[in-house]
Amino acid sequence: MTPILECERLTKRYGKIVALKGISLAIQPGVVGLLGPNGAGKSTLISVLLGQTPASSGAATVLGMDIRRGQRAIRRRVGFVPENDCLIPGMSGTGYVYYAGRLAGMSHADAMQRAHEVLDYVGMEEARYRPAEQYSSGMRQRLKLAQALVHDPDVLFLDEPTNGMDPQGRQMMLGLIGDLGRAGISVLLSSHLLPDVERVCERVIIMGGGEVLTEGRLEEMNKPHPTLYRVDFTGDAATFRRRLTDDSVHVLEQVDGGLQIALPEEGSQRLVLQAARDTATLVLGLQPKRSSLEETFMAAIQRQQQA
Amino acid sequence: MTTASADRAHQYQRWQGTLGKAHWTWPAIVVNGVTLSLKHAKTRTMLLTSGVPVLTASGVFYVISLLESVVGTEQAKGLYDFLGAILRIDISGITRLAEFRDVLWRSTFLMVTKFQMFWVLIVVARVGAGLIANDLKARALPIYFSKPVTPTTYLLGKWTVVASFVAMVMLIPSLIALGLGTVLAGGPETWGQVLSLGVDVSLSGLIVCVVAGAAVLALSSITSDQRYVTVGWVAICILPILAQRIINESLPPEVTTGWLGCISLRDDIVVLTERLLRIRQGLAATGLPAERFNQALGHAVEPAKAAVVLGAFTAAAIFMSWRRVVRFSRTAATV
Repeated sequence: MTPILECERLTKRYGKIVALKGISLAIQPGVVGLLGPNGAGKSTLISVLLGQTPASSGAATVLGMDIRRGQRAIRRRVGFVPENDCLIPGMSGTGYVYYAGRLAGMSHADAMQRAHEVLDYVGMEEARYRPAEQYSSGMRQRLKLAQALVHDPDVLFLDEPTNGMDPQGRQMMLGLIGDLGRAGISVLLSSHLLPDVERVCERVIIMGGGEVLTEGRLEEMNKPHPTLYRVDFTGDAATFRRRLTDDSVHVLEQVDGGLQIALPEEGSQRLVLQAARDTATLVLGLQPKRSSLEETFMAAIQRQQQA
Repeated sequence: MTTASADRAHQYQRWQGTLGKAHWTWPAIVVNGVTLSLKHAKTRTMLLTSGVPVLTASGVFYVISLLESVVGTEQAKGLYDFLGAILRIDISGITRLAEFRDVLWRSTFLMVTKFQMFWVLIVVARVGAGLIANDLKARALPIYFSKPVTPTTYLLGKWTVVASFVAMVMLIPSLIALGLGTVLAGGPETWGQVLSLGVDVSLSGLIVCVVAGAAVLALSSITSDQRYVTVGWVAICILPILAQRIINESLPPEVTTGWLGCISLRDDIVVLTERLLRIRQGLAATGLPAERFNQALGHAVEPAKAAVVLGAFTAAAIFMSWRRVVRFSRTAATV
């Protein structure tokens, strides 16, 4: 499968500040989450990929097109939902999306027809003729999505698309993003809301300090840990702990009704059962620890800060 | 209130059409800018009132044609006086009026242009002040620069909005006046004269479009507050006119024919218009003594110097707005 985005040692400097530190990555088609704290370089990365900000060094392609030479060609096949409000005063929802279509190079008739289609799609049926400045936050976000979709892009860059939305609106927006992914549009979802990313994304890229800290499939990030386990038991906890330690099992912490442990090596769960038998402890459960996206995110950020 | 349902009844439909060439996105900016500006009743009123000079010019052309038919009679005196008052030129010495119709029409256009500059000043302030400033205020630039719009096409689109309104206020009314004058006064035999005059009037209108458009866009790109743009616009248009008046009054005329006479952009445009319309030479050719028309035309400033001042100002304004827009385009994603 051809990657939708490829970066090779992509660097962006603003004077002495290095916003992107030699990023190298390849993003396959699908819905991809771009996570990171403020100042991680997410918006700069999007800006560079859109060809708005020239990269200081390195190379990148979007849909196989070089970001230095193919800016306009890239923007014809990419939709962008900025984080902030970007409504033009005095325009209705329809006028705004129509205008976005015209700016993308659509004919008058196509832009008008398509504006109605996408406004219908994002659920703004009867509000489309009202002045856009009267819209609620949720409607504004959906209007921004509509303008990004009007020319039917192959890739969507969404910068915090659920900002300022109520739970119902947020669910709807995430539903739309998921549907767009199923319709064959690749989505790069930049967000700091981990549940949003967990809900709709197949892959996640975690950025921090202008670097890609970790990336991978969401299911891989949530896979069971090979050596970290939680053991629930009844019996003498002190004796059981001592026995586990004797067998090189590292007890991390005591939790309600059990212990968090780190096995010396993968597949050595028998040591726990052996210790239980020796100390007459009844093991109620032995479960590998699953990393949540939040834990992966926090761990990545901590590693970066320590480095 | 729109219902926000998480369960969509329909799925996303891909679009099967094709996009046009990216270079041609600027007309969309023009149409949008003109449409939004015309939504304001005040702008529409200004456009309508800009027809007043047209009617005046048409009336003058008609009076000139009347004078041509009654020249040498008792009735002619009143018409000579009327035209003298309107054009501020004593033309009573010109008896072969039909022969010098062209220069009289050109003088009329110069008079009309001076009036129209007032409308241009107001309409450009009203329409142009917010063209970039409002986009900055609304943070709408990501919409432009995430589409295949470059800083150049963006500026070209915005400039054409200003130029369209200058054309609506100045150029189109002038050409209508020319057409009306031809029908009312000249008749078919004047078509040749009119064609040449039409070209000169169009060129003069183009100068105003270029200078006014560049100036107001440069101001509009400086701030996101439209009010400051309007203040700046008034400052660069009105203050130099006043300064020029003071200089002209306080210094001898031979000193103010050079660079010192080129301070006001409005006066520089009038000087170039006068040069384009070849009025001074035309009136001299009628045999009128120079003192009869010098007062109306003002003291002679070297057109080349006026052109240099206007050119330098316009180039600086274009460069400034282009630089600002390039900067905005590069930060559009993070504005």
